[in-house]
Amino acid sequence: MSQIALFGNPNTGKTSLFNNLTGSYEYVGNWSGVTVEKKVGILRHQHIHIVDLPGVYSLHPLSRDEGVATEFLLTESFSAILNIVDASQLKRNLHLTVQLLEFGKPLIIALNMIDVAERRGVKVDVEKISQYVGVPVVPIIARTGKGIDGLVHAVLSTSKQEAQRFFLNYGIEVETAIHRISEQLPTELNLSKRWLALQFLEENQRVHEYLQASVDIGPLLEVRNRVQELIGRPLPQYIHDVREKWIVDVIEKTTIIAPKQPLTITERIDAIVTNKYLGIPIFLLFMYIMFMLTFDWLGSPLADLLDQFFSGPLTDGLSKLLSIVGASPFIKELVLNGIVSGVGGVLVFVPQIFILFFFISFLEDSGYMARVAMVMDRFMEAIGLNGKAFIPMIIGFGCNVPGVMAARTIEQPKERLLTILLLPFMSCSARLPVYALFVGTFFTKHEALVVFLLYVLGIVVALLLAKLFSSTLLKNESSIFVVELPPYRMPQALTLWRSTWDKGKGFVRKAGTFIFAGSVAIWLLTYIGPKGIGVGMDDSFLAAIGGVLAPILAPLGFGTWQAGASLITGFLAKEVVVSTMNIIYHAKNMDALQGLMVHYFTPLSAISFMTFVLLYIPCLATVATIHKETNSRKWTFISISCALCIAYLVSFSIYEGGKLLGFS
Amino acid sequence: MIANVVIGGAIFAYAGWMFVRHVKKSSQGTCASCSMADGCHGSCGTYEHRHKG
Amino acid sequence: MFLTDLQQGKKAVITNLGMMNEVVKQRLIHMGLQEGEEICLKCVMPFGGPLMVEVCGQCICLRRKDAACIGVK
Repeated sequence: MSQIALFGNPNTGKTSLFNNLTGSYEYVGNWSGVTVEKKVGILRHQHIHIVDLPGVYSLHPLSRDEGVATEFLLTESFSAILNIVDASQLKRNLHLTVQLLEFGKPLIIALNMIDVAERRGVKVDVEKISQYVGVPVVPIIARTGKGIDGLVHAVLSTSKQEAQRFFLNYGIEVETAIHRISEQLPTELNLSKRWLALQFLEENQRVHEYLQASVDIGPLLEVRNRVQELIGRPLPQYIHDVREKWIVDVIEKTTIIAPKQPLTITERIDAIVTNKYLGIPIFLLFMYIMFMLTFDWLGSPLADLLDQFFSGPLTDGLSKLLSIVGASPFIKELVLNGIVSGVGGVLVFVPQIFILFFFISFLEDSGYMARVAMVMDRFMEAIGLNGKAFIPMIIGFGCNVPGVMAARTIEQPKERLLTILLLPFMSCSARLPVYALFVGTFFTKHEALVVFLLYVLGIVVALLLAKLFSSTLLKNESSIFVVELPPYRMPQALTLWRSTWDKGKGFVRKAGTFIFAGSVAIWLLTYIGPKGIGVGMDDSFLAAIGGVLAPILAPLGFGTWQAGASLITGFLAKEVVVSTMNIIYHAKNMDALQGLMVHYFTPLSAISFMTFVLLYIPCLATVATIHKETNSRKWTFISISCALCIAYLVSFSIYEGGKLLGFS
Repeated sequence: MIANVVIGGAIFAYAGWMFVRHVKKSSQGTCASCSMADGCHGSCGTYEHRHKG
Repeated sequence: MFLTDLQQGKKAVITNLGMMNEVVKQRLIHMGLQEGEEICLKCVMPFGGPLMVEVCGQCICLRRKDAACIGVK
């Protein structure tokens, strides 16, 4: 089965195109670095694999997501390259195209965003450019799917086509050097020697390492130094300039550029949202509206409706059904007290989680994300990070796992590591049901405000920790911040919905699978005990397990075995904290549970508990991802233990401090 | 009686299976969180970090 | 003159990138910010924050200390 690789600059719509070609719904957004890992899909109705790769400006990796693309070229076998080119940014995009052409594999250019380009007054003559470059060029609009059929057609005919022959002359000195280097490369390398030689001359570190593994690098370095002396300026720059000249020439002959248009919408919006003084307040306002909608205006009423359904019709219906079938009390208890309480208790928060995801999707798709990075940079710089780190943090609000992955776009290893370490403090959507339950009980008048403050607390703790790490363990590395600001666009309703659904469905699926399993296990642990089956809750195994933690948690204000037990189960997935509480407290619905909780918690200890849940430990999936991304047990361990210590300290100070101040 | 065994058996079997699957998937990290994981023939995460500072 | 000396909303031509941090320079060149291009300073964030510039119809955000190394005319 042949494989086709999708290459292109960041934020040119590779993943949109990938989704269109394969009929899948991958994560798309409007900023650079949405895709950080390669993804494989199958071309619709064909036996061809399409590989989506992270966007790159050139083949020299500066950050880790870019490394994925270069690595792919060097080590994987594929039959053709599909190069997606942003028509409104031709000059910059073609630099990558030249490098890919030199690679020697069959290549098709998908000229994307022709609509955006035309609005900007750039008109590209597709046939002419195809002639000049010597490969098929297909105009498309990946967002709407226009031109995709033509592209599929081109892809299918190219898979039979022979390798294209692109040749750009770099002048006698460099050409001689390329020849010399090619001579020394072993024949068994499957890659174009000219391409390898050129990348080596350009000082591509990854290609350097690749060559080092198979040949003696000494003579090659000699060749490079000699030609550098002959030319009298840095080789990478020289090669860049030769390409630039060729590209300018191609563009001149194939496109018509109208004189500059008046102020675009993007510029007008930018004048406000990235305003010197209004920038940060606008961002905070956006966040505030998001929380109000999630918890106050829209989310809570919907959650109440769902809760009524679960506790009323659903429970009654199931109960009747079980009686008709003739189920034993054991089964009845298992279904009604175990599964319905456990799974239902989490599912009632689906509306709130979808609203939150909707906002995050909007942020991602509109182009505001990169602006947030810019607005926050000055602040982040002060704590030894850069504004780009804020993007993984926002994604982390949805789920920490993709947040940790998104940190790949950060160039400096130190900043990347730091960002990964502080991500678990970003309050993910799985923690939201815990807050919703507690604020619904104790802070009915200020639900949104309390949750907002919890989110802010998470950020503040993360930033303080970053400051601590960057001034102790991880100093001596300069920080780097350059970010591209994409034009704004109104997110399409369909994309927005799909993106929201994609994130939210994971939550629903988890409820049906793992939380179901967890509820059964927890219920079983409450049903059996050291003394036998069907014991009272306080004599159950779960009480024994939770009881071990209770004395340790007592100074935090919630020294009960119930709290201990739900925190332990919460490590597997944070939503389970709520499931466990529902089962333990035998609550039929959210109202009943909230009524019961007043006996076990005070408003102060509720805050302390929520804080502890926010900070105490990254969930299992996040821990595994941190381990994979940092490739270090040490840092994974530090991340967990740090979280535990900080959670304990913060909750302790909140509870004891609050008591001293006279709260209860 | 038979209904009890069937319902109970189904619930516990499903729960056990899901539990094992979740723990397995979570501890793999990265790939498990990818929605393409089922149909993906590439090997995610093969790129080892080469630029460790 | 350097980029930081430019007034907001004004345009200039980039003349020198030689003094920059290597990685930052690479990134900027990849994005199309190179010698000979026209650059427009779009906005400046407060408290010594980053700058937003436009090159080739593309908005780029970079730090002030990096911008201070870009020679313009």
